[in-house]
Amino acid sequence: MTLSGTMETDTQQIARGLRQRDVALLSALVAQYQYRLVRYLIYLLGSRESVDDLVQETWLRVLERGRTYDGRSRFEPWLFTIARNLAIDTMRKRRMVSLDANDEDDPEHAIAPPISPEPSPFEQAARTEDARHLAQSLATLEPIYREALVLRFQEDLSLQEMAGIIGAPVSTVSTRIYRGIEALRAHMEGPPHAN
Amino acid sequence: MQTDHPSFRRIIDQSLAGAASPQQQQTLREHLATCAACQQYLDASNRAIAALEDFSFTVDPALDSKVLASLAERAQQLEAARIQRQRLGWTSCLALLLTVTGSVAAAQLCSLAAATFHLEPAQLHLGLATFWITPSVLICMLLLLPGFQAVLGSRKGLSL
Repeated sequence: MTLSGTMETDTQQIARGLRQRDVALLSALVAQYQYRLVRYLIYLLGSRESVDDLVQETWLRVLERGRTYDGRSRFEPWLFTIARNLAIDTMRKRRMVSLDANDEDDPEHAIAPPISPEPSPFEQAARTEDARHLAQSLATLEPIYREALVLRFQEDLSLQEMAGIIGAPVSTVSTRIYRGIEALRAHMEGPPHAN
Repeated sequence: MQTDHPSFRRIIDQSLAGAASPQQQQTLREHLATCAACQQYLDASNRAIAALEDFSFTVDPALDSKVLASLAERAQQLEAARIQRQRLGWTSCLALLLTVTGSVAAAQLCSLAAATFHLEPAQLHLGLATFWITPSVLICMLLLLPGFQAVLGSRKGLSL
């Protein structure tokens, strides 16, 4: 009870601060969420390119549209929804979006994986042997599965929260998580094998 | 009850995704106690998920200050735009008030002029309404429209 009561108060304080365009509150939010926002965008885009610009744009959007956050739900899903929409818009503008469906159950526009000779951001960020194994898999994994993995296992969001961000049914979100885990597990166990 | 490995592996996936029911989780626990293959499957999955924690992305140290500077600048712009809109609103209300007052006064003067110069009062009032009152009221109303205010704001670089 106390925990949920505290969380409710926190989100309401954020909502009030955003309504008032309180820059001090925004500074605190930037300090608290910056790394997670950067990480989410890297997982979503599979690249460092544009991430800094998108982070900046996301916070500006938070300032401008802060009145639409009602404080009844957690702040993170709302923040990630903004970042996701901006990322997709940016990629569309740059014609880097694949308009082909990537999911049989839920055709959806997806962000095309980047092709770059440089090490992927995952390879650069891997700190352990297991992570280095995974880095290659993550770099080649479809963005929709990477996104599902980061939101579920790094951000610890519920399926409902994820569905809200992605704009897809919970069943689709679950399927993306299964497939993401499957790809990672296959890589951990050995060379990728066909299903 | 599901007894085959693929079904249990599906439940493992569901459980990891947070989509398994308490009953499914209980069934899975019972199965895992006796099935080494499914336990291995679960361990491999958990290891992969745990390895996600082993990535440490670097954030440009200058990014925070850049973001904060742009937020402060944008907040100032938004505040200036709000004040501009407020001013426009008050100006429009004042203009409307002056228009009404001026129109009443002008109507009185028209009546006086009509009596002095033996003119038709209705024609003078019609001219007054056409060339004075209607344009003035329309301009005031135009200033009050949010869309028009946005255009004025954007010309000053204060668009929302």
